[in-house]
Amino acid sequence: MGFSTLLDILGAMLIGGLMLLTINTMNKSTAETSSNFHSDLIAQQNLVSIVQLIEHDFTRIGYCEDVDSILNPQEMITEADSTSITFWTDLATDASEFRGDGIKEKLTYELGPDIIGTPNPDDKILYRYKEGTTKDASNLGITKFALTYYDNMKNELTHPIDPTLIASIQIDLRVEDCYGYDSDNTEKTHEEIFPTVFWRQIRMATKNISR
Amino acid sequence: MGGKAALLLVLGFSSIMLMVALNMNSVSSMAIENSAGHFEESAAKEIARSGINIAATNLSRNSSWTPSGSPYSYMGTNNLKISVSDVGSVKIVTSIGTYQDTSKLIEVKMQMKSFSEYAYFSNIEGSIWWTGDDSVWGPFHTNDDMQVQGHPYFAGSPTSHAGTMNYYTNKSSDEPTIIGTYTPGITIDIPTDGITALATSASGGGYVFSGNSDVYLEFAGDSIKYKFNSSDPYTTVLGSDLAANGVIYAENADLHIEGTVKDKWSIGGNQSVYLDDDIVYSDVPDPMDEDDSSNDLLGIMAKDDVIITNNTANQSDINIHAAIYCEDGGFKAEDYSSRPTSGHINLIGGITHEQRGAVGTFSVSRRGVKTLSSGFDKNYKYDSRLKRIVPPYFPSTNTFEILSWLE
Repeated sequence: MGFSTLLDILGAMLIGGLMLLTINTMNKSTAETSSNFHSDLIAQQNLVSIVQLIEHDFTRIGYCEDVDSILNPQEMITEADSTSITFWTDLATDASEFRGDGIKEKLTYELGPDIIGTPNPDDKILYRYKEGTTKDASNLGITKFALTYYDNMKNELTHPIDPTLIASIQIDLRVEDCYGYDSDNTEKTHEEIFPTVFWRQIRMATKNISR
Repeated sequence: MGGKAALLLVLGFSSIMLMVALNMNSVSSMAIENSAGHFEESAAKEIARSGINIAATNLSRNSSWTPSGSPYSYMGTNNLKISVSDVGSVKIVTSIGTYQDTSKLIEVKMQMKSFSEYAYFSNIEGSIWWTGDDSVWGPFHTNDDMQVQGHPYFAGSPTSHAGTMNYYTNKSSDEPTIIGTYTPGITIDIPTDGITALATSASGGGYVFSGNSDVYLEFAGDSIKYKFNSSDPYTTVLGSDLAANGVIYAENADLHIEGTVKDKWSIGGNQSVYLDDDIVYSDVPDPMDEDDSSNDLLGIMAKDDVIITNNTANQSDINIHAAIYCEDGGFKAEDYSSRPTSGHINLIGGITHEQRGAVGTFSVSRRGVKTLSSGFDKNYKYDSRLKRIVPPYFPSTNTFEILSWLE
């Protein structure tokens, strides 16, 4: 083996090393990008699912299929807070049914405490439950569920909220990926680790309240 | 050999990159599809809501309107279907909006509204202000400006007015508290034929008094007493024999009424109605209980005024249980500024009148304490049952109220 062979080996090792380094960097970058894309998608899909459910339920505040059982608008919301609300509605007996069964039920939306066990320190469970049933829920990465209430004169209601004065509601919802990517990296910001989507319904006036 | 290896290496890397790119492209497409799907649902819902608005607008102009042009084209072709059906007194409006491949259905139930539902309704308010001492515990409407001073309280639903909201000083010191629905900018006309319709109803199954300038009626439980001069003795008849449909009408006569009402009645005439003494229900309802079991209900309807007579009986409070309707006049007290102080008007019911009338005068001390100078203090309580039951043939507003909105 001569000197030129040694140079060949060293050159090959250098090029091979650079290639491995490039492949490794590319692999990491691809994995991160792919993860972010998927996280974005999951957060967005979760948001749309929650928004559809919220719009479905909130537009039915005070609705009852049996017209003789319809409440006065001021009785339709029974409790209201910044992260929870309880109202009367008429739920269908089956998810495939469009109409309610004519029997009023109290439905509660309530933001629970932080979830322990996921890398995201802010994710919480949003409970949706009928009075008298258990609080079942799944983690969809909700980090904010905020309700702001307005009266008939468009003034923001102060706490404690008087439910009889509510004329419209502003809903803020933020959904983040529960696991993120590279969550141990302290140099990244929270938003860089956990893709975030945000939705706001400005002053939703439920038709049954404003009937 | 080295060239082949390099080629394989490039092909391998290209394949891997292609798969990664395809995967990311697929994720991007799904995100866009997800967003587009939500947009289509929102657009379809808005189209359906537009359909409900079209139907509501047309029904407010013509209560027998049918959507003969359905399906309509709105942000598409033939993508808005509206239907209107009647189930008893309830009108059901259905609207289906379609955008791209997504359809959304909205169903709204409506019912014609009666004037008896109002705790207070006026066409003209004049110069009278609603003050911080005033509260209205039922539906309120005026076709005039709403004049407020010192945070009056409107607890009934709906609350509406046609004119502007006038503040005595400014919004922060005078803004009213309004609970439930509030709709400014709408006009609801008092009909010009409400009393004529009452006369027609009285002719067909009720009773019409005619040929006298005054008619005196006293309700006495199941019976009704009547006479035509105050000094005459009463003639007593069974109420159901006199007017089977519960409607009594005085033609070209002033009607004077008092007594204890049992069952459902509407009484009135094409002149004024005088309240000579208490006119109360046999079974007095809890005004706050919409479902109170009392079966007694009275509508007092006058073409001109409903007047509290200035007589001895009315000099120490008057109790009135009725929904009052004055087509061209107002609810007022006779000689309100010269009669003695007469206690309270204890009203359980509602008032609909063309123009707000006066029932008394007040003086206000330097400390702001109000003292009755003549006439009556007001103690009005809305009979909540009027939200669901109507005195016989009480005039309709010709407007619909939405009972329920389903989407």
